[in-house]
Amino acid sequence: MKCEEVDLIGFLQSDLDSSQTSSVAEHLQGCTDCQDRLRLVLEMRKNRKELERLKPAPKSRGYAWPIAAGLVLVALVGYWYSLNHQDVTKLAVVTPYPMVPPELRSPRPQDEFLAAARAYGSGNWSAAEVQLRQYLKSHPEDYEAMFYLANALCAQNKLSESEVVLAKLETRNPQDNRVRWLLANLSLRQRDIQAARRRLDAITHSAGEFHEEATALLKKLPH
Amino acid sequence: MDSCLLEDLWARHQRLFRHIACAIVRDADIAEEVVQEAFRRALGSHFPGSSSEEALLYLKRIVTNTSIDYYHHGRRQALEDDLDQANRVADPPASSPLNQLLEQERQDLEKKRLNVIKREMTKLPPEQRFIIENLVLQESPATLTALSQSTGVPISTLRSRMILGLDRIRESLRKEGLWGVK
Repeated sequence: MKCEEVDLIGFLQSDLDSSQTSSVAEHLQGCTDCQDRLRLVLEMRKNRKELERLKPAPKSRGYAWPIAAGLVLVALVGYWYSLNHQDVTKLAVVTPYPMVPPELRSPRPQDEFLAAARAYGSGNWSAAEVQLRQYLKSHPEDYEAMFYLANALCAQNKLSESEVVLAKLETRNPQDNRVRWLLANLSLRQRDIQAARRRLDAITHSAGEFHEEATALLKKLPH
Repeated sequence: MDSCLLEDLWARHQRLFRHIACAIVRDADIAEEVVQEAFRRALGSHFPGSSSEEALLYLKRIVTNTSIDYYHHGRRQALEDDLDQANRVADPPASSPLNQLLEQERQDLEKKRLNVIKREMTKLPPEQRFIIENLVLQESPATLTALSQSTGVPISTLRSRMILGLDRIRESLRKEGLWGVK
């Protein structure tokens, strides 16, 4: 019989059958380790009441520190990740720039533009895009029409197309904060924080439109 | 208990009873004394069962318990013998300062051992402490089989955990010079 097979408690409780009892007893007479264990068991049983009063073992003692450290690490990594990988797309303002009602414009726009303006005003972005593209065929240099086309594209999540149009506008008028604002929000939606920051900074350093909005948005951007 | 049944069982299982006693008290002469004492206790007891299996189990328990009593008494007796020896050498009166000092030392030693056992118990891995608390420290512990069924841990694993736990405590006692001391 090996030590691992010895049921000391069963032996002391007389729970073993006669052959098992005899085997354990024989093993005990020849094994000093098991004799020692038996002595210790008897001593512990004698002091049972004192030993029972020990505080219960924490269930996960031995693993508590690694687990706690792991949790703290996960929390820190999560915090760091949230700081650095904040879903900046949610910060982006997606509301298209409101179009000045055509009837208030002077000179009064042409009918082609009016159709686009109606679609734009009603939030029918795809129709507005079609109408504006149509209009731009005959008025390719119309800055305002291009700007609203960029907005209509942006509203349909056609970000790349919108960006191409806005880039042209920016080249033509680098000081237009409306274009900067739209480009900055486009950059955020594409998770390009640096580009967004650069454009927002430009807005805040100018006295034009979207100054307050750009300042507020800059504060929300992760560092 | 039916004395015929008892005598019959005693005659048939005397070797087993000696084995049990010898394993616990670790002295053939004392084991013989233990077996005789157990037999006397059995004769004087009122065994409520009737089957020979129940009677045999009862007798084994009496032998085991008597052996444990002798074991503890033997340790105590050995200490008292040491005290007597010391007394004989110095020949002081029973309540002499030397006697009191030796008794105090014995108590201190017991206390130290118990403190080490307590400390080591709290340091044991939970699975080892669990098995020791549920097998060693229970007055009527569950069997390994029952514990294995309730925890889903194989019996061999439970036994190994108990051995590891006991060995850890024993090793600490040894390191502090408290193992192998009467």
